[in-house]
Amino acid sequence: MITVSHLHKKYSKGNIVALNDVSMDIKKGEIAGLLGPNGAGKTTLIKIICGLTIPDSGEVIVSGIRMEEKTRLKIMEKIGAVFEGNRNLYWAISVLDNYYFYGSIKGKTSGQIKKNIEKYADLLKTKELLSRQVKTLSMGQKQRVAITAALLHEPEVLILDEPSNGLDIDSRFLLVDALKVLRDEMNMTLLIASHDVEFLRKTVDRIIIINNGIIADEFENIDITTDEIEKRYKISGDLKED
Amino acid sequence: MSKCINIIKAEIKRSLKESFSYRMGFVSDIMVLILLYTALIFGNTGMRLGSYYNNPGNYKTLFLLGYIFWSYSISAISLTCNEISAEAVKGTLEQKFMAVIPYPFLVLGSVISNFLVSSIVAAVIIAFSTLVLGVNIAINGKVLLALLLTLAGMYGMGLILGGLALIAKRVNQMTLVLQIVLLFATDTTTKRSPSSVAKLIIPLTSGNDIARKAVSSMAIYPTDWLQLLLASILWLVVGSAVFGACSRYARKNGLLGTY
Repeated sequence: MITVSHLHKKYSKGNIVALNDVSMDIKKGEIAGLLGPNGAGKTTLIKIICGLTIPDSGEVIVSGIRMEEKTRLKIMEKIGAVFEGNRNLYWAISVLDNYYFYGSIKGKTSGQIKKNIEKYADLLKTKELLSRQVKTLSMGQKQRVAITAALLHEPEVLILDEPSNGLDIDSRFLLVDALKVLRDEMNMTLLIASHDVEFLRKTVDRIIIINNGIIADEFENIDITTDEIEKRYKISGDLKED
Repeated sequence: MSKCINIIKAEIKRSLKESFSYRMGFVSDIMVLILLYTALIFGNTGMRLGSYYNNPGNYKTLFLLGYIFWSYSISAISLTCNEISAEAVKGTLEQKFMAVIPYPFLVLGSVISNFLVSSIVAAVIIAFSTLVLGVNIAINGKVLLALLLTLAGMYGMGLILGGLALIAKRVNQMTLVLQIVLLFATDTTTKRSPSSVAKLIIPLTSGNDIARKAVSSMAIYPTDWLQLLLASILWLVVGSAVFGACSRYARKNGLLGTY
């Protein structure tokens, strides 16, 4: 569903090599976790997949379409994304207004958006928030609203950057469950970038370790324990095991 | 096509709702423009406009017309760059770049919304001018056409600033300076002789001239319209090209999400 081949990205400012020959393949209906410390290259990689950053070389294929200037907009129909922090929404307008706006810019009609609000707001428990202004919501609520907004055009791929940041335990578990429903019941493909080991251990099928701009390792989630990940890759998370 | 129109409509709706949610900012913008206008009127700004357009009794009306054109124009040129800077801070800029139509179409939605908001501001200024200062204005079709053509060109100028905002983010100070320069460099406040070519490259200069001729019952020659049309097309073309280049540069250097 997402194929990345030999991606290179160097930022001229600061002479930073963000990605160095990165390749990976994420299957349809899989939840893949991109794990790495801050500055590892996670955000650059997902922004390249989202068409927001242009790589120096390499190739990205999403849903069988190669990312190029002329195909970028077509790929945008297939991707939903929520970036780091609570900065994905318009805070001065209501949740419902945000939903209609984000659904519209992904090419959906009002009728389709209304139907999908029913479906996804129910899944992420944002129905009771529809009339509230975004600025009045808690961090966890904003995150759930942002993810709902990213789902309203029913993307084939959902990309989340640090979705667990600043969430309380209840919001985290609600999010974990919702993401699994997207995979199991809607066959959606998810790519989650995070430095939160425990969140990824609870959510994803496969963990891809990225550090210093290279894919350092990858393994099925069942193959390794949280302690081993933390020890081996010196990355820690704060979501406690049941 | 219908998808594109739906998206532009959605952006107009969102932008209007957001504008009116910041009521204090909206009201203070109007207050500033009214105070500036009043100060200029009491300073007898624009007296020479009356003699230039053979309409000495109505020099205040001619000045008001230029002032309205200027207020629409500054709003048009600052819109794109202010919007981009603000959206980069809010974090919504990247989501807009992930829309299924090119970003400039979303800017068009903001532009239309901005035009509607500017029209409310203009209506308030005209009402204040008529009721408090006794200076009124009769807007006709030629004035409206000149305004629309002027604004198309000024939006083109705004796209250049918007492109720079994608890269440098904080270009608000530059925009502020440009707004003041435009007040004095486009025959908005006075006019003694035919405008120079340098002035005519700015659509606001030709727009002001045509609108004032229209309310003074002076002849408007096809070359006047042609000048305005060409200047506006030039700015739109250059603005779109610069915005496209800056947008590509920002994506190449990972600058879209920074602020």
